[in-house]
Amino acid sequence: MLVPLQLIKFLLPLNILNMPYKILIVILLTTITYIVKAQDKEGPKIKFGKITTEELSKNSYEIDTAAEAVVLYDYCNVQYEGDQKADFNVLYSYHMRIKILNKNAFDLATVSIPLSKYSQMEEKVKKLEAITYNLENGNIVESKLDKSAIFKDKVEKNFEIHKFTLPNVKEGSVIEYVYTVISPYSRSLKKWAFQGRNPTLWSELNISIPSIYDFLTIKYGTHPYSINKTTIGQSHYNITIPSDHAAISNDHMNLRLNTYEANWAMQNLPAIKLENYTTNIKNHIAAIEFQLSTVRYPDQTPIPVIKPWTTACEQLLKHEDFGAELYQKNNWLKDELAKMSLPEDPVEKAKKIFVYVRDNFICNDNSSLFLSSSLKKIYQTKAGNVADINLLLTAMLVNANIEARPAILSTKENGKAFETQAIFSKFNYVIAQAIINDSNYLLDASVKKIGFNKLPEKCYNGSARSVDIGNPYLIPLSSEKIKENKLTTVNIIADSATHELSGQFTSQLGYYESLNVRSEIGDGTTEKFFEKIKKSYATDIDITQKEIEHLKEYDETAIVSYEFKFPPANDGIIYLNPLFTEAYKTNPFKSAQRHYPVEMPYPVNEVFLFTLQIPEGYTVEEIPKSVRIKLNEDDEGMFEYIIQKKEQLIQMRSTIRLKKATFMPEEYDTLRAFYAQIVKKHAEQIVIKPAK
Amino acid sequence: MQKAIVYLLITALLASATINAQSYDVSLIPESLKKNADVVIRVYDTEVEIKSTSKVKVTTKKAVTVLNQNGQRYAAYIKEYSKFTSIDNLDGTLYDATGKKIKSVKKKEFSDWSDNDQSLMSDSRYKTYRFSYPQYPYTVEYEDVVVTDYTFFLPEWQPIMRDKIAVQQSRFIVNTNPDYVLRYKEFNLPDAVKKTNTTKQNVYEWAINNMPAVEYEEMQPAWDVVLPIVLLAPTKFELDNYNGDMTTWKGFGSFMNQLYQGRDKLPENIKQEIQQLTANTNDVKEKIKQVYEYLQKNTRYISVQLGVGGWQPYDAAYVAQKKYGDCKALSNYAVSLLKEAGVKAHPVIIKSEPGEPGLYEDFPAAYFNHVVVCVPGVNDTTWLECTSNTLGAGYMGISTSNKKAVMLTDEGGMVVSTPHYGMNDNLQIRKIEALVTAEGNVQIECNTQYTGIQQDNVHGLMHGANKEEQTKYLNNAIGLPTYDVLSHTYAEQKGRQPTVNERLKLNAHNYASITGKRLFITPNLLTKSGRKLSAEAQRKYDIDISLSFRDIDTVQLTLPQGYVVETMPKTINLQEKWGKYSVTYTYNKGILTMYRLEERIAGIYPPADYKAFAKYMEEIYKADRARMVLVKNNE
Repeated sequence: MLVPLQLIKFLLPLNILNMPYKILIVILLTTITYIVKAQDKEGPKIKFGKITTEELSKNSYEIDTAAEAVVLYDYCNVQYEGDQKADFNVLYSYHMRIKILNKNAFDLATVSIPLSKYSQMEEKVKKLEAITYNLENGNIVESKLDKSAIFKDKVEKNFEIHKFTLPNVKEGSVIEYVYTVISPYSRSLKKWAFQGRNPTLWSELNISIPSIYDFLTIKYGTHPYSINKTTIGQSHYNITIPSDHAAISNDHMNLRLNTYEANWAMQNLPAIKLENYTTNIKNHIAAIEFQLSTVRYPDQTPIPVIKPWTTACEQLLKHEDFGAELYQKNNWLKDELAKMSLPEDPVEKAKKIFVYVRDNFICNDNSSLFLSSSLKKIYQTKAGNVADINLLLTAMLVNANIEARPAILSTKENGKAFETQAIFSKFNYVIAQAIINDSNYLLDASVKKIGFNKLPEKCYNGSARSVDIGNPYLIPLSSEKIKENKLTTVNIIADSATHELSGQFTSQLGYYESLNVRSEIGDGTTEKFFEKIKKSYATDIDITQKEIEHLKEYDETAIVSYEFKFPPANDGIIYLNPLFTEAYKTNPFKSAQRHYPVEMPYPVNEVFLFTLQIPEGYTVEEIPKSVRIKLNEDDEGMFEYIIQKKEQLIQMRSTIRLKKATFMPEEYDTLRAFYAQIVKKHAEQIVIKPAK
Repeated sequence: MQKAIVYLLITALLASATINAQSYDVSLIPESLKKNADVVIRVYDTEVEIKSTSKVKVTTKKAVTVLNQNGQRYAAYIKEYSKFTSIDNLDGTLYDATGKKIKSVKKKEFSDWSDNDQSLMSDSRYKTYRFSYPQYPYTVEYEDVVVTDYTFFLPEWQPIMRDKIAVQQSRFIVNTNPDYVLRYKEFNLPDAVKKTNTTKQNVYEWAINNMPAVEYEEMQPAWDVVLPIVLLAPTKFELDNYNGDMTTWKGFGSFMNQLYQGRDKLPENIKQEIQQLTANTNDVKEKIKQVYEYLQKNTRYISVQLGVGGWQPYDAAYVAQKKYGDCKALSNYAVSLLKEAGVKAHPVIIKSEPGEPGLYEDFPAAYFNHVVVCVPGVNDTTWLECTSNTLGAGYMGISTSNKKAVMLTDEGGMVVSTPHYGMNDNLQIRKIEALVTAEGNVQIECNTQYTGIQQDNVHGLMHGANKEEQTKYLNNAIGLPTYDVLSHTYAEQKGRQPTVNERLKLNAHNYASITGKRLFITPNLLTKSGRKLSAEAQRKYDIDISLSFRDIDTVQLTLPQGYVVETMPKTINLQEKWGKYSVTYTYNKGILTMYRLEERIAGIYPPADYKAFAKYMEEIYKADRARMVLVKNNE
């Protein structure tokens, strides 16, 4: 088939996210043919029940000599078949073969198959077979799974897990199993992960989709494909259309349809390992995900499922479980607002409404894009999910004559959402957006103690989509957008008679650190908080004048302050680390290597100021040297430690600044070394001595 | 007709008035109960009707006022049930601060889940519900009726589970037939039981009124040691058509024997393997070792708990075929294998939980959650943990050592004590040689010998983690600023007194801090103990130290040339009834030698000792982090 020229552009993998996330979207259309690429490799010829002595005797694999198990073969074949209810079933036929190298991998011999069990939409398992192979005295011994050893765990009303464990598993065993899941969900295909927690030699997905459905494929990870092949085929589907009357027999339909055939495989995939400072490991695992984009019934106009953002947002706003109530005339809500005696000033008014919702509603589910009930019901029960609360907030703002609309996003835990494609299943969070005097305010009333126009850290996952009729635009929300600045000041005077050091500590926290302190203290007193500070000093100190300013002013950053006193030094020499509790004592980057980007929650900007009044009769024996260190040539970060003595005063300033929050694996060594230097410098001491 | 309706209405009103007689208005809570509390239990009444040895009905009503956010977790209902249990008449109600009803839920609105995370399969399930309400305080009330088909276990009463919970009123009532002999044991109760015996029934009643919340104290005994509890246990009882009498441990064991009876038959091929394996020795200990290692090599732990299978093992032939089983099945299999080898071994029913006594000898009851194996000897009894693929024959870990358990013998049950590991058994002997460079980096060679309970962690690291995970663990576990583990090797001698030798080589950057001509170092590189305990003005509970140990450290630091000592860390010697600590330093020709000894003696120490204990711990804390200052020799 000839490829229409204007469609070729769809073939180009679309890099839909900012680097460093390599997630590609490709639209699969049956009208387009890929030319089979030359680099496509042949997969291993693995048949269930056929094993070689070599596979059993091999006890170490080059790919990962420390591996406790190696997945030899992980395969899934996806086929559609006509069902009895005028629709399709999807058959997923799995085939897994694993080499068990160490007893710590015995848990891989216990397999769980999760099944959705909604009435009329029940998934089923068929053709389950499993074998353990062992090499005993040079002979291959097979132990088959007993059917009676398959358990059905009815986890919950609509969810079942079928579980089995293989018999006779030892170190060196190869286990193998096949099964088919029959799913009535023909419009949503299961995700396929090539990569897992054990190294995988070969992972392959084969798929055949009738031309009725166009799917978008979303590819995660950077591992190369060994097979990446798509072709057009043809297939027959027998569909039964049940009749409404018992007297009339069912209708049968035999459809001959074009099919979209794809074959993807990867080989020698390393095991997934979770590192610190990773926003969401899901963004880095080699996988393919599917999203239905268009439904094309024969001889009918295609029905787009994924629509342009403008259309999608319009529909979202009309959707009963999202925006339908937002802009309707709402008398009860107007009545409620009237009782609140709202101020005239629109910003003050918005603030008052926001604070009311934040403080009087409880969020019982912080991952939802849709309403769980009507706005009125939510208002009455004072509880709901994040969509409930922030859509109610939006409706209240609108009814108070403030321009407002919802915005949707995907939180860090939920993974990346796609900026270009309106795939709602990738979104899990709703916030409110108010526009007052051309200024934008982003509001989230589902989080306790959060300020007006502040979003929780988990929302800074790339961007949000403003759900506006006509112009649904992107609101950038990258980690780099967060300005988290911390300024700590310590002033010390030493009593010349007693040699006792006393001083004042004041720290203006960044906003998110303030939020953490607020939630740590909760509704209680600050006693425990300061007790912890007291314990964090290496020596005994007395803390007085303890205060947290702005603890209850949630829009502000908090200021922690106290006064402290050290006992006198015995032998007269005073050793003093000017950074006290604020010093970096250990390197936050412990691993010697890094496999993924470092994703810090926000860029760092920490300033520490210190002054010491040298007591009479003392001289300064030693002070650290001043230094200034650049993170790299591009000046993306710096550490400065400036110290000077002026008459009877020592002044020090330590500044740590990183301009970005995300660092590539190849930048890791630089970053680790940078922090090592900070740790080193932060350990240095001031020495003062009685003058002789 | 009209009249009848009015009458109905009035009775209905009256009825609802009586139902609402219990008001959950928060203003009715005495101030003393709100102090230090996250929740106040307004009412917690449990009525147990023991109808027969195979039927018990438990009716519970519990209302909890949640005072703040921390108390929220107590607003949830969660109750387990199994094949032998049914939950009936379940409902829940939410009230606001004034006691006004906000919402009611019925049984079908409670969610129902299988409780199967730990097992391949089990029939235990639970029902749960959680109210959420934004304004504190609020009150939740749940009522349920639970009917069980056994009397092997009977309910217990512990109205307060832990700190921050106050109780306004709680009652525990047990009704039995007049001829039923109920056994009970009371702990920390303000008032003993009230008994009323009539010709129709015996009634036992316990009650607690207006008990304020308690506060957590560091190193205190477990909550169930210090809070009020009533345990019940049966005399004659049933479990899935098996009958028993729990009055004595002998009787308990006889019952268990029924469950184990006839489950030790091995297939021929396994018999032969065992015969061959043990043919070359007559030494019983050697045979035990051979059989135990055979078991470890050929089986793995898989838990299946269905019905009476929670207490009855799969038979030996099943394990022989599948090569897996749970603690009961593997222990039973081990006993069968040992029998084939001519060694008489016994299953021991035990409560696997660190620091617990295991059972009360004077009160036989089903305390247990685990099974191990014991081979009694005249001088040297051997204990076997059959769910482990890695432990040595004869060793019990921290969860099963130092406690009482019930051994099944042909005559029934018998209380036995598992091995006790004392200070001389739990050692950590460490030798460090380190070279500090002029730049402040340090190269460390560290050899450590761990024994007894102190080797449990390293044993786990050796066997449970691969090389890469070990490195990762070590990279996070050691408290040095920035360092790399260059190599780490482990060697172990298994057995009843296991030893692990660890050899570490590491490089730490910026270990010593250099400021101008001064060098600051902390000579104690790796064994940092002690802690800063909270200063409690009024200590209420005992100090509970569950583990005895001895740590000996010798550190030899070679310092860069050209420095003289400005400040030496102090020599410390502490001795108290709970332990001993000393650290000494000698400096000679550029080499600093530190010798450190710490001993801890397990025990329960009275509250009056707390101040001294906290001081002792803090002095260790400081001494372990003491700094040495060297200054460059100008000459």
